[in-house]
Amino acid sequence: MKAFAESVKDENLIARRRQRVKEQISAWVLLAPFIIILLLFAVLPFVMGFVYVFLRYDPYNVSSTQFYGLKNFEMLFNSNISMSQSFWESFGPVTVYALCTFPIGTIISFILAYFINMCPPGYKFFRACIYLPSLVSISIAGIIFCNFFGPAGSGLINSLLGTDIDWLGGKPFQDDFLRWVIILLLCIWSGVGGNFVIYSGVLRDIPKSLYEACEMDGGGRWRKILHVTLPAMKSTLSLTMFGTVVGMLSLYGQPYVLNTIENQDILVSPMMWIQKYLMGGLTYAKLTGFICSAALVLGLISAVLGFLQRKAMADRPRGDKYSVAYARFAELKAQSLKLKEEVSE
Amino acid sequence: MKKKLLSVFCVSLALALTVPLAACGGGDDDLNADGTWWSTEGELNKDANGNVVFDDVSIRLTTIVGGVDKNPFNQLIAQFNAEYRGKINVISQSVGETDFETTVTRQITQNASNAPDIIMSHQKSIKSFLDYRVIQPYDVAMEETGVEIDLTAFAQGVNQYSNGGTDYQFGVPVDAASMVVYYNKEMLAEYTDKVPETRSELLKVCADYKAATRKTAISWESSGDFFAKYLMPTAVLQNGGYLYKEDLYGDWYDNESQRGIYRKAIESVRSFIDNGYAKLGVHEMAGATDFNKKESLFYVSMPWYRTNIVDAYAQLNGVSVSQAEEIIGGTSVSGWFAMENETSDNAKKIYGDSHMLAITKKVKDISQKAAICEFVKWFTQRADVGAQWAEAGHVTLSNVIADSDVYKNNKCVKNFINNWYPYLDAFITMGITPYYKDVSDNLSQILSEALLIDSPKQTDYDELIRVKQKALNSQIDLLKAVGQG
Repeated sequence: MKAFAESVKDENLIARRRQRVKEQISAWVLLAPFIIILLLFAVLPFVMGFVYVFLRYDPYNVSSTQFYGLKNFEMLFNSNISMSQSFWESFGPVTVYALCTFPIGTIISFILAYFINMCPPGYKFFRACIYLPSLVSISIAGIIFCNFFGPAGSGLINSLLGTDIDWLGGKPFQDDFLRWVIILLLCIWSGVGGNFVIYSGVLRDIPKSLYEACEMDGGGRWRKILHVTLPAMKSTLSLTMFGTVVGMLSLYGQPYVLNTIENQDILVSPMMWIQKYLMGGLTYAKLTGFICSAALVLGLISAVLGFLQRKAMADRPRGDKYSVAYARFAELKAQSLKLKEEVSE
Repeated sequence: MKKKLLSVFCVSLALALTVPLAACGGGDDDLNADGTWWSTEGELNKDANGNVVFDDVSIRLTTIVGGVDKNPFNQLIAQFNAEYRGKINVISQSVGETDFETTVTRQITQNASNAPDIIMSHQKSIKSFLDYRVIQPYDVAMEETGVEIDLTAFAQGVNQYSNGGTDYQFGVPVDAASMVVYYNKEMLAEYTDKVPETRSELLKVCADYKAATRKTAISWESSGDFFAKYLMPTAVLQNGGYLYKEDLYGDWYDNESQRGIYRKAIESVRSFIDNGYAKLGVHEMAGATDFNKKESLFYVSMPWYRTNIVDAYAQLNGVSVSQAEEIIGGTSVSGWFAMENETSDNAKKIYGDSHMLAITKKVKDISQKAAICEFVKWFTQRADVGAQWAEAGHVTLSNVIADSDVYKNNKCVKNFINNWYPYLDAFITMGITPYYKDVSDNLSQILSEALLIDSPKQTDYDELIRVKQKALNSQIDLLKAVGQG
């Protein structure tokens, strides 16, 4: 009887093991396309780029490769080299872009999500409308915006108003305010939908009891947002903010599609700078290592900013004197209650 | 999991290190003992008259032609293949301008199966191709095969750069293109008896037209790709300047006389806008629409849009295409920007790009070299071929074609091509510099940025010229330093 029970147990074990192996194989098969693409087009290029930063590498003349040490970085941080100077200058427009887009985009997404979450009539339709622009590719969005804000003769707005406003012209920080407004509009129009969906999901998950508790404590709508909604969304806000920070540093599509020929060389973001020189033909092929070092520095800056932002948003114990005093008071009270119970026993 | 990730990283690192580190310190393996990088194998099959006999030789051509003129080019290739059926077959493929140099170089250096035997590229790339040793001398191939053409019978302004700064001739000039002018003959006749040839004549017509209609006489695509890229060097050259010094650096600001010329070049373009003779920020379509709606007398654009412009004019004005072809004429930007010495040789100059044909180093077989020489001969010496290519907007640089009656009597050549480029020997290209992109970018930025300044002073222009000269020279310093290793 015991032997029979053991054999049954063994068979069960073997069957379970087979099942697990089957599951593992199917999991790997399903993951394989993603892993291969990730390795080929993300991990390997990253590692190769990392290697190139220490070399004088010319992809069209590999035999001329030389070990350069940190010379590429040395050149990148040399302000006398105009190419390096233009790389650092390219952070200027990105910072302006970030300062405008980041708060405005987040606030608009949040407000829209908050109101849609109140389920007004037709909210499903509005939800779809708000998300729809996120599905439009940046090239298409660029064409739409260029047709809207083009010069007189080809721009819809100028034709409607009978004006000749140069919406997309101007030089950075001089007379290109309108252009930044258009870029901002494009970013918000196309970027709000993604964050809006995330915020909507999180808002729906906040327990109603918390709002009721706040209401019982005399909290109005504003206090509910401040003390219930925002704290509950803290981790989500942090996540989306990280995405926005990384996104704004890799700004490429928006200025690329909206730059006019007159100012295409003036408004350049770091990503545009990297792309411009990597695609610069044979003359720039020798600078592959140098351009890769710029890409690596950009990646590091993104990582540092992301890290700082995550740190700033991390949960911290409340350390003000009132909370410490209250904690001590509560502890003492608990001890005295315990003592009382012991005495009465 | 961490161990797995680490191993993935290590494997990737090892893979990434293999190629570059294995190549570190490599020598010039592809050089022959005499310092050349090309060679010839095999023997030619000739008939009793000494002519080469081709037996189904296949040659692969990669061309930079890829815009609206791609179809006419492919038609010419099809015509060649039909004429040489069973003898030579050309397989053509197109690669865009942005990737042309790198794609072709990669294919040839890696000996890829689709690497071209012959390339049709911009002449300005010749130095880069020579630096990477991807092309071989045409004159040597011509001598070896006996399929000869007169290599001196090409427009001198362009042909002088075909040697790439060496003792050999590497490229055979084919055609040229720059910004050209379309004009409305009927409308212009109301203001002048003859087409303006000098700047003062042009300014007078513009002023008269403005006074009569309150409209701008010139519509140009100032937001187009080629506006600043072609007009700034043209304006500099017409005012007696040069694009770079012999050592390839720019002295646009440091040299006082050049600084003055560059200022004049900017002013020569800007004055059209400031005087209300032309607008800024005009898109390609908007400029063409203005011209076709008879809002302006002149339209400055690219030569390959000729058929589009004529068709659109016919459609908008309810006339036939042949009538539109009679109404629209062609004239040149030659003389438009010369602020002084309007009739000097400098005033005739036009800056633009030129196509050349070159044999790649991949070709070793002499029959293949002969087939390529035969194709080049067909393309650069046959008048009817030159005329067909001209209809696609490309003026021939071959004197043999240009002097032929077939070419000269072609309707398109007569009405447009020869008027667009009246002084072909004064057609200037970038010349022999590997830094042509930086020179071109900085030059066009000078004009683009200068046109954006509100009420500019002389010092604004000077500062702009100084900054761009510094950018160019610093870039050359960097490229030279890295190039030397």
